Amino acid sequence: MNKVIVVGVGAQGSTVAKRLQEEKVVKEIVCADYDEKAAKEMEKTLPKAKAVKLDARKVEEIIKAAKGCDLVVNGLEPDFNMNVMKAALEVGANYQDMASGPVSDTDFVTAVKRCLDMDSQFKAKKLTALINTGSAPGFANILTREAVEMLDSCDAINIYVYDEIWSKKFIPFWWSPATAFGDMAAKPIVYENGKHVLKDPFSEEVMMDFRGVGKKRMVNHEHEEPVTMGLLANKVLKGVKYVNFKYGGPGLDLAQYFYKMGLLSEKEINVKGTKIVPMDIISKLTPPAPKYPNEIKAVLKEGMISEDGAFLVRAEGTQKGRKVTIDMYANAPGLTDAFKKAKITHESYFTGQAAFLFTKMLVNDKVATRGVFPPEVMEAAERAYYLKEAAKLDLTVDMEIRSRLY
Amino acid sequence: MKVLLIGAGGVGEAIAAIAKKQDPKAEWMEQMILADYNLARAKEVSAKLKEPKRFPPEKVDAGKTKDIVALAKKYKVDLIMNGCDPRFNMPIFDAAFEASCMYMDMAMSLSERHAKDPFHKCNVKLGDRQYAKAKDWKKKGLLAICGSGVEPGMVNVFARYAADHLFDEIEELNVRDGANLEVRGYDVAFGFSIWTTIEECLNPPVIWEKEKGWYTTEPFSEPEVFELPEGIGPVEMINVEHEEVLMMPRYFKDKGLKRVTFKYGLGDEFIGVLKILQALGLDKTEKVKVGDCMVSPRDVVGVTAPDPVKVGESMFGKTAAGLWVKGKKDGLERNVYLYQVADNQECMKTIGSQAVVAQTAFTPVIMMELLARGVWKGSGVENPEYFPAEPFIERMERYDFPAGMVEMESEYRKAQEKKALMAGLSSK
Repeated sequence: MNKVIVVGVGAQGSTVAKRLQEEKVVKEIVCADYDEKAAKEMEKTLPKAKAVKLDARKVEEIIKAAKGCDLVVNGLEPDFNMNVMKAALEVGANYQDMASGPVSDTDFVTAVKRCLDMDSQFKAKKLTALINTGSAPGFANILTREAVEMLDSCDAINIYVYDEIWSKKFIPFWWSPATAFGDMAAKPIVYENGKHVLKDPFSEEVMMDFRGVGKKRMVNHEHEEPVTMGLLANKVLKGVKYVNFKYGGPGLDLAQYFYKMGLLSEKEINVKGTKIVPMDIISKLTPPAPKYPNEIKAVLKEGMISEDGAFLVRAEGTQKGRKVTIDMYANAPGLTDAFKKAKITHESYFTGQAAFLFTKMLVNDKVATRGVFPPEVMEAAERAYYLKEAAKLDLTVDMEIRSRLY
Repeated sequence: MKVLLIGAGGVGEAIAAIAKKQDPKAEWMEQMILADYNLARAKEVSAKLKEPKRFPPEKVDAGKTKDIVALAKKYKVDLIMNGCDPRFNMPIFDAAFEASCMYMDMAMSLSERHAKDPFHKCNVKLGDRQYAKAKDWKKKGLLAICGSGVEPGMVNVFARYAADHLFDEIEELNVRDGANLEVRGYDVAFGFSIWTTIEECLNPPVIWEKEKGWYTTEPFSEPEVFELPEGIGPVEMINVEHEEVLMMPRYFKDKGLKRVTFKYGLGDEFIGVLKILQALGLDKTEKVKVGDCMVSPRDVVGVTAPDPVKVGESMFGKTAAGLWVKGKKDGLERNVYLYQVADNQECMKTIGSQAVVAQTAFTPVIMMELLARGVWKGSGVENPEYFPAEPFIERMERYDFPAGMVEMESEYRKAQEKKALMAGLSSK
């Protein structure tokens, strides 16, 4: 394993590339992006990096750039997943992506299924395609499997992400605003009674009492976990019948206002003769998350209003005939600490590093499983290795098991 | 009188409907031409009125003075009624001048914020551009009544009434507007032109004080709870940029006036929406590039938000427009709230328009009648407080938008109540 291509060097892809620089086994990192400037920036700062401009809409271009690579890291939006997977398979490389949906050409469940359907092709070539690797999905999937393994039977899995990193400078989201708004306006999928069910955006509001944070408003949110975990319920999650993902925070409240006003619609409207998609103008006007150290520093200098957050995986089931709830709280640094540690944002730190740990496992041959699968499928030894490495980066997990005697 | 109505939106439609209802025999309103940029909309309104000759539809671009003049000449109109949002004030105002017609609008020409200190200092104020042409209008013997809606408009008439009949001295004129309206089925709804609502609420609010003159503050400043009558109850209100603050000091300075403000009850949810629109720059009118096209963000909000014309039927509750006058009567401190309360469902039933729209529309119709009958007359650029208030107040009753008055807590009220109490004793 000596050559890796990172396709798409945005917030997450660039973090992975930067960390790959430190991996001794990696000799060359191809940094590919449609935005040549972003790719060149990587080439300038990382000695092992080589910049390539490519258009991921064309499989041939990805194949050409990925030739000779042992691993293809897909840092693009999920719309490009099929192209990048096909290219990895073609050049005989392992594959890693961060998300499966939403995509524009089909529904979320189908988008995940068609990735998983390439399982036999990857297996035939003795290759690994690890999908949905980040914090959520990714880290959350590993915690889920860990919790479920402790249970004899599992009834429900609930994943909660609360994000209240709120700076004085107006930055509603610390990842791509277009992705954030897209996720929020989409119909959330809940795995209910063994079936994937579409709910309304911002539905089934609950006040969750998070450890050390207090009660926060959480709503259904479109995300990968209920989809993959539902599809793999019988295979690796003890036949769980309910999986849900809920999100909360001021960014969500903001998106909800826009949603109510019809501003997150993807349908074209006519504004005095100009045809425009409301979501496009919202995405355009939303300030992007700061990426470069000097930008992050400026935000911190202006001051933070809040640096709260919670990342909780809750599994409910039975253990030795007794009803049990297992809470797995992931601990990750806020903006101030993430910048102090690595000159990056909390989002890049958690999601980018969580993704990188999967990359690290792949480049160091620590994943023995072959085929296409999300992290909940990983073997016990693989998961343990992952969590130990994560702890070294201060991405730790606190577990609480609760049960009632009678 | 022949009127050319430019803009057949919510208020435009209500103006025509009220005029028809109040003057069924065409005694003073001979003809009202319904002109709109959207001819289909003008036709829709004309069809509803069922008198196509008296209310003919026409297409017009309110931004083109020449076209408006041509239309005014075609129908030989006496008055041009501006029913558009205030962006179009100047081309319509100038067209009336050119066509030698009387002119009325419901909001004045727009302000421009101070480049360096927008939240303390004024730059171009509301109405400045129109007042600047007052001499020309006077010279030509033409009359323009600017701000002839409910606010500004009716409340300015209230100010005149208070000065002439209720007070010896006026210290403060405070417009207070609020409602308990609820739009069922919509989470976020604008009851009024979205463009104008954003303009009013996010511009730096303006205040007038005797010592300081006109000055501005941050948006949403000086929150205050004001008790509204007829079951509406307490409503939290904040400062908003509005014409009355620019108009009233011109007429009542010699009455001892010390302060003029305008406060509006927006509600927390609505303020939240406005703050977010502002944070993202969605309130901006300057075009931005999105993909290959250029578009004004505020116009996009205008298209996506529920249409104020269409939410009317789902709106329940009452809205109050009024003026809180502070001053002195017979040497005693006195506080009075002069108001008009409209019930939304009632307005929908009687004139087919929602309450805020109906209130804004009945006022100019009364003024048109007063002009047509020669009760109100003059020349130059004036505001409604220039004219006698009595015939207007009296017609409010007749038009089914009766005025009300609350004698608020004061030395004067206490004295009156004591007198009433004692009257009971002496009658025995």
